[in-house]
Amino acid sequence: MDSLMDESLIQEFLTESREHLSSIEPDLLTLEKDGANTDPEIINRVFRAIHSIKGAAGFFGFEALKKLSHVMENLLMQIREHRISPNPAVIEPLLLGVDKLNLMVGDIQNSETVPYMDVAERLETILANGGASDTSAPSTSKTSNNAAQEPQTASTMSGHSNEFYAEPDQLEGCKSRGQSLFALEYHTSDLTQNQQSPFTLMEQLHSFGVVLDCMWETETFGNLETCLEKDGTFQILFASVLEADLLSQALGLPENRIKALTFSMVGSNPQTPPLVTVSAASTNGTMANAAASEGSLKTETAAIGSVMMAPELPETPSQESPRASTPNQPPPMSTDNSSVHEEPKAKVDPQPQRKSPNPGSESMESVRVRVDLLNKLMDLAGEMVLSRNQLLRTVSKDETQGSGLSNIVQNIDLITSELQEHIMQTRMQPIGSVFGKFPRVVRDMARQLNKEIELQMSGEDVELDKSIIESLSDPLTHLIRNCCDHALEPPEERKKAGKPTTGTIILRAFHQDGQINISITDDGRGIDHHKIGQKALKNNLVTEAELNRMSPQEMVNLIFLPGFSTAETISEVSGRGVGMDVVKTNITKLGGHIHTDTEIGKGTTFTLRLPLTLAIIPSLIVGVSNQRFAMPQINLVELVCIRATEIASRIERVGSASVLRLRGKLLPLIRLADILGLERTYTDPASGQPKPDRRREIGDKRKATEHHLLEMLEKRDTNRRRQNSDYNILVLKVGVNQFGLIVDELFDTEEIVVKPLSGYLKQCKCFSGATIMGDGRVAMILDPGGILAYSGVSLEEIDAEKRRLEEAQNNKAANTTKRTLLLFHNALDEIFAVPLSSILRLEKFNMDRIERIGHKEFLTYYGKGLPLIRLEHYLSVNPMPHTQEDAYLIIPKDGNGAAGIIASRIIDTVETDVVLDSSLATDRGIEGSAIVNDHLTLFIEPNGLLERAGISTHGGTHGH
Amino acid sequence: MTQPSQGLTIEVSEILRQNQAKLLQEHLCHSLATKMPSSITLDLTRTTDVDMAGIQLLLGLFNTCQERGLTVQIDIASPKLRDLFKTLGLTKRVAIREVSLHG
Repeated sequence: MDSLMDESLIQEFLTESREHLSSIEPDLLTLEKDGANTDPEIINRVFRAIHSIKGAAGFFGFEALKKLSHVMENLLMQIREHRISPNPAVIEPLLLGVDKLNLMVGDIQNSETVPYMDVAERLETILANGGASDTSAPSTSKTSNNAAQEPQTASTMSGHSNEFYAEPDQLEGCKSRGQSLFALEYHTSDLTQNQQSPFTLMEQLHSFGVVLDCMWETETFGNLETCLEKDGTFQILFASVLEADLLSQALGLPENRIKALTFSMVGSNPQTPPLVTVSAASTNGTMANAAASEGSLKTETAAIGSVMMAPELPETPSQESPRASTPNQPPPMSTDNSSVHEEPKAKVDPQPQRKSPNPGSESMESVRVRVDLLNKLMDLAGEMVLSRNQLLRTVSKDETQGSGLSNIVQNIDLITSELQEHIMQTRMQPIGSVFGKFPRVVRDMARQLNKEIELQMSGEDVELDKSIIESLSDPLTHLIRNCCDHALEPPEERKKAGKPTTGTIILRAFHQDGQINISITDDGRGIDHHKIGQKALKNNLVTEAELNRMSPQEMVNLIFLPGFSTAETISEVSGRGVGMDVVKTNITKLGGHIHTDTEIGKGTTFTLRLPLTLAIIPSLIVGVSNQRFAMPQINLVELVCIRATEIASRIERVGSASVLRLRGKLLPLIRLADILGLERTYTDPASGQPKPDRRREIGDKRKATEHHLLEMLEKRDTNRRRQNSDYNILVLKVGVNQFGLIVDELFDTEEIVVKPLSGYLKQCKCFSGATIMGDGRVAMILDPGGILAYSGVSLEEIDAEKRRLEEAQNNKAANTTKRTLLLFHNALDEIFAVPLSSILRLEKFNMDRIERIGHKEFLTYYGKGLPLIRLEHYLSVNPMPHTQEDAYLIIPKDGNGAAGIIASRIIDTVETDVVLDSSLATDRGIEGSAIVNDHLTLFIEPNGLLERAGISTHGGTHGH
Repeated sequence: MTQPSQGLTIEVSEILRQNQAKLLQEHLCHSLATKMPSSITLDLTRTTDVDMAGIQLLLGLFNTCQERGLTVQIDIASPKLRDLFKTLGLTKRVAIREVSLHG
């Protein structure tokens, strides 16, 4: 039980520490920027955060964490006391310290292995040199190790020295109990005024910790004659689990009289004689022989190597501190190390309450809630939504409508929706928690790259679901780093370009259309799509033909390809070719997409569009093979119904893919049943029962009997026919691309509760989760991106084809040429064209005349063996039917009649304006494609085809 | 000039608080001035209750004796008092002898 409790306490400590560390960084950057003019509250905030980390680290025994935060705290105190100026040389090691603390907190079990001494030494050097970071500067207190430095610094801090003594066993016991050490300063008047006896004082102390030692400032007691009039001072070495501020409340002792000590500060050698002269920095006491004792005690304490007073109690500046209100307090000596650990001057705060670290948030009441508890609440809210849905469905079927039940259910419906909404809000976090780290990233990058960069941020309060926030950090970091490294020019280059030497990055978050947009805009050099294209070509990411067909926007989008990098050299910052593809992948995983706008010389804007939450999403319920699935509406563009009679005319094939001609655009089609390995069904109009749909291809028509039946039914019931035989196509978007998903049935839209997939379904990329429907059945949530990837359809290619088609149509008048074409079939569902001008002869022949030598086919033609070319042997097209008896021989002019191309059927000759689209000219032998007589037609390039067949276009056959 | 006497033992009452401390202070001052003892033993074997004034008096006495080179010893019997002195570190400053009243 103890270990469980400890674990939860440690977790709490880690959570708090992370929060502290995330808040420290921007404050340090402000401190660096504003220098001495920084709002004191910012310095106090950093101080408090570091102090809290240090205190808790000590409590849990994380020594490295504690030591580093301690020395950071010391430096911060000097800054707060205006003894050290917060210039960049001072802030830099503090930021590095924050990095180290982050590393330690990130892996607390191995925190002791994090190397931090270099940073600690830099901080100590600054402390020792009164703000100078030059390590070569002579340092009076610099010693070979930290432990030796501490007492020397401490011993001079107030002009006096302390030495407590405790048994090693006692100290070990305190450590193991997680107690911290404190020096409690008491005055005899404290007890006499309160009529408190030493016995009751001891009882009080023992109830909060352990008294380890007591030292009397004997000088303050005077001699026998004067002792009863003196207000003597004594100090108690006290170990407690309480923090100093709580201890102050518990003991009724002013906070400035409680000083945190480290264990190394306490003499533990039993042979060490206790020091007689004892004094803490009594604020109102005097020491007759302080000056005399200082010198000797310095030596003694240095030898023991153990004394150091920690600055304390920054959290609640106390009115009780005499120093705080003593105007005649001698100014601290900035060159003297004694100032380093002197008790901080507490700022008089008219409001003694603990200040909120975040100004302006005082009125916000909040509690810390465990994420797993929130998740559980979210799950329960989801269950309630599902039960509500079931209830609604049940009640809607209930015939006893007059019972008043429907009103109750309506109320439950409303309350459930509201409950769910509010619980969802608990998961929402401001995106500022991610943005917060970028000032540091930009600052460090600017220094590293010798650039001047300003980061402007807005919309930090825009809220997103926690899970999305967590996944956004990496992609945004990549984008920001890329902006710094690639986009923004060095100052000289910017100056030459007439730009301000300081480059600007604007990071914005804003709502739009129910989604969150995050834009990263820079005023850098922009993205040169030609350079991107050439780099992609050089890296074999695209072919030259593909590149030639690409639009500038498509070329820019090549930066998201895995392995793409334009950096000439690999640097620490970037140039490894990873990053932008990760950005795109991560954003896509979140159900979002990324868009790039760029202008050469002006800058670039990356815009991420993201859903607000992933927990409960509106979805369209669809059916396939009598099973239901949920399609997130965020991916849904529109629904298209293709009537059975239109299927043949509107659905065509492009390579191996079926495409739908939709408003002049080509939309690749995927059948969900095929992807999921389910039987395709349709509802038999006669029986009303689902029956297997035997159409092999999407574009296939039903059998004649089915058509006959359909025609009959069409006359009787058009709607019914439509439901049974038409194609329901969900037009889905994945990023900037779209595709059509054919489903059997469409149901209603529903807000579904996303439940994660169990471990053994995680590999099913076509599903993003599962949900429970109103009737209690489970429905899988479809992942359009996964479906597309699984189908093997190259969406980008077809999308590019689509755009090219648009462009081609726009430029048709300018680029068209009138050609006379011979249209023919090979397979009966594919149409080919060859310009009549390129044909030498066209003849019909009987397939039985074909002779074979090896795998080659010949036709005896005018006394010679004429090599035959079957299109399916060289091109990605369907084969000619085996039942073909007669065929046609197309002898091209190329090669002077050296070979013949086989066609199964001649369709016609047409004279038409054609704009050839080369996107399908992936195989040599195909010139391109065009729509001829409303059909997609592949144009054969005889010369290329002959070459592929190994036939010289100058006559003769090459050997294979 | 008065010669130092051997040793001075002063018995302290059961209670050593403000009033008693004041009286004891006067008595000690007078004794030191008149008897010039080489050592002082405070017999606190009957004493069970001490307040801060009592502690102040003891510390004042220690300082004076230290200045004058006198040795101080305190006899105590009360475990409660012994624990208090120990906790307060007085045992580091002066010889404290525990005396059992039960022989």
